[in-house]
Amino acid sequence: MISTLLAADLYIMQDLINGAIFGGRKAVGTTGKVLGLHGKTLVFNDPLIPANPLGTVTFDNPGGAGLTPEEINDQIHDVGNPGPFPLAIYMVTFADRTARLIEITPTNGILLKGTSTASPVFGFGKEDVATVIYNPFDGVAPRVIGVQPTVEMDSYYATVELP
Amino acid sequence: MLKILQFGNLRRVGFVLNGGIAGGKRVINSGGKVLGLNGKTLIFTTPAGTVTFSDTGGTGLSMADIIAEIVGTGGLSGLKPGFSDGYLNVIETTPTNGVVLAGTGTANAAFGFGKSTVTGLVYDPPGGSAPRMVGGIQVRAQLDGYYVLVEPA
Repeated sequence: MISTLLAADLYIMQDLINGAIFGGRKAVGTTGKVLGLHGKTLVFNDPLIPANPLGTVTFDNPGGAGLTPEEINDQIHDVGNPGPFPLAIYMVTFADRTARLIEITPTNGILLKGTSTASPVFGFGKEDVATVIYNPFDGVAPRVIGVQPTVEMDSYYATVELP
Repeated sequence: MLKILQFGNLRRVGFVLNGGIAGGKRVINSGGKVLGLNGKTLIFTTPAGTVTFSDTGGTGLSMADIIAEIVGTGGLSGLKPGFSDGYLNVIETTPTNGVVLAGTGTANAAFGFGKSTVTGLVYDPPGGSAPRMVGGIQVRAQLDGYYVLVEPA
């Protein structure tokens, strides 16, 4: 099946075809921190075997002062605790205060469960979100056939083939 | 994985797609010279060779001096260094493997290369193997530059 992906800029397009999940709200406040995460979770399953849990991060911020992007990633990566670190393959970046969850080395995509109680904070939605990594044009689907500017010349679209 | 490379002009497109690397710091001062390079190194691993800059008088090295020291005393005749708007650019004379610069050179900071290895890639055309272009060179929507979809590995 042929479909299109639309992105406001090429950085977003690159993350989109590499399996990023985009937040739908400005999660970072004017203090540079994300508030309201204490005790809330991001729940990941294995995108290759969707029924299999991969790991859960439960954010810790008892004082409620908020977490910086660096602190959020440290908690996802479970820095300072004994391994294994199943979620160390992921990271959250922020552009224009909006979260973007991506594999550090895009490999299999991400399966973020809708049961994640921290999802509304980031604007990731309440349903399961599964992303894929797109292959080049001569690979197997999902694959990117091309990336072009839109006719309005204000953004970009990718023509893709989905499985 | 796929990546989108963005460029300000077509000269830069050709430079990067052919494995060139560029420093991130505009180094030429108002006197046309770079100061503080004496005894400092740029360590290339592809092609292999180390240049140790010599400026014993401390008066600074011109762009021509730096180029001569890289290809001369550094023994890196396989490299074609140059300057663009005051930034050091280095590419192979015949693009083959891409230029690789170690992060440990003591002159890295002076040219804005940082402490991590800098790796240039020579991209194949779309029908080749990675690293390769995955499409042609396109004009950015804002008509202010170019982009190329690539498969780095």
